[in-house]
Amino acid sequence: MPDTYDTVRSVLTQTFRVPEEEIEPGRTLGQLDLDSLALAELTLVLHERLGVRIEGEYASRETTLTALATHLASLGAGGTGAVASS
Amino acid sequence: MTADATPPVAVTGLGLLTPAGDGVDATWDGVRRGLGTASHDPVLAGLPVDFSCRVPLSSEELGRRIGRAAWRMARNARLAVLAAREAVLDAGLDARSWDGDRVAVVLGCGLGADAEREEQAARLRESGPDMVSAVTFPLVLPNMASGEVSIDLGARGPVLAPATACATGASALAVARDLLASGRCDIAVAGATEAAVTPLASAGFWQAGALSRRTGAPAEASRPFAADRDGFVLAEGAGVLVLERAEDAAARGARVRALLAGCGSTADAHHPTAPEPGARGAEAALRTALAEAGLAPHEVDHVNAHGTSTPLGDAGEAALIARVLPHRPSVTAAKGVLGHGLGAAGAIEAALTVLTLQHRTVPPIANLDAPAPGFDLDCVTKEPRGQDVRVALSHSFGFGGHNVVLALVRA
Repeated sequence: MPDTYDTVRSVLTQTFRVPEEEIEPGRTLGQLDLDSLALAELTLVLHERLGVRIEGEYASRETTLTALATHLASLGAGGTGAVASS
Repeated sequence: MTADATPPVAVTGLGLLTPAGDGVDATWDGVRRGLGTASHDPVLAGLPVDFSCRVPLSSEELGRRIGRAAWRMARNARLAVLAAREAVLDAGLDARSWDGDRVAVVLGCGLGADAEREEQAARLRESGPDMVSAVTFPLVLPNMASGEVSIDLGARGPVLAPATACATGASALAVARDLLASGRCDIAVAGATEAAVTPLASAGFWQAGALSRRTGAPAEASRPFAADRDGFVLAEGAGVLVLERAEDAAARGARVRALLAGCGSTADAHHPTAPEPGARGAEAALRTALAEAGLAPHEVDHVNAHGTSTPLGDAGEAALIARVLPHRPSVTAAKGVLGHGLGAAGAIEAALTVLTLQHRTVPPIANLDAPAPGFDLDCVTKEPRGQDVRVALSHSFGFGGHNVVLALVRA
């Protein structure tokens, strides 16, 4: 889980320019201003980084960062399935 | 004033991001220096024409300046948003306090977000539909730069994106002028953006014979009106002007940089890419711009030419200037320094023409010792020329046969 949380954090700060200080485990994606378009892009970027595709219900505006990272870890994210490193 | 005269509008703000620099001052300095900005471009490596003129800021840096909304913006929109912010600030306006319902955005592009389109097409081809971004269309729609500027500035009046290829920037200013004249808005944020230096653009324009092939000396490749010119140089950039009715600008005590006094827009109705041999359409645009300004041809002090450095285009324009303006007004062509910013060029050059009027300075044409034999033009070369310019024209012509001439006068 810590690995996937770090990946989520880095995508939020690098791709979506969410200020580091706003990122807390209990915050939801909606609280970080991610709209439906941003959630679709987040799913794609995480797929590229971690090699796993999450369903929309696991990356909604109500999803907390902890829940997202836990779900990614449960899918075996970060294993050998990564399709791209960027 | 003649019966055709139209009230001028005031240019109260400028914003520029060009290969000559980051902002209006840097661009003006670079253009006055008169040196070509083209260089080998890693994106074009291996192609027959492998050089371009780039805005010296990475997309990452542009995004950092824009902030949280930048992730969904293509490079052309990023350039537009930052140029628009500079122009609004320059006009002494505040987007947080103005009446956004009365603010128009008229901001087009020639090609659009082609780099982003090519990237997403490659993702589809190589990785399948799962890897195509959901923001593909927000990225590539040709109106999205104007949409993002509208969002960024809270401008809720008419917002649109003209597309007249390499005349787009000038068309945007002409349309914005009309929106002001007809009372559809009180402030117009107008101009154009382009960031379409891609392998496909280089290969396609190369195949059409439009690009300079001077790969051994890129900075010397763009040479408008030179005898040995051999094509244009792909470039990117954005130019934005803030326009207001002159009386409104005066009422709020705005500094007026220059007046947009006339706009002539015509089409050749002749050929998709070749200029009409007699340049009748371009001449009609020129005469209309002057008639709207209530001016006669002999009153023109200066021409900021379209001057792309193509053999045919420059010859046609040189003949037009010599025929309609035989009193030899000074001529410059910014594409020698900046390359051809395609859709953005007309807006960038209108902004430079404003600066010429304001600073009484005509920048030189890069890479030009003297105009080609047979061109009866007073081209400014080597160094800036101090000149008491009161009336200036900015020419823009585009594939499709578009001709737009703007008449700008000193405030």
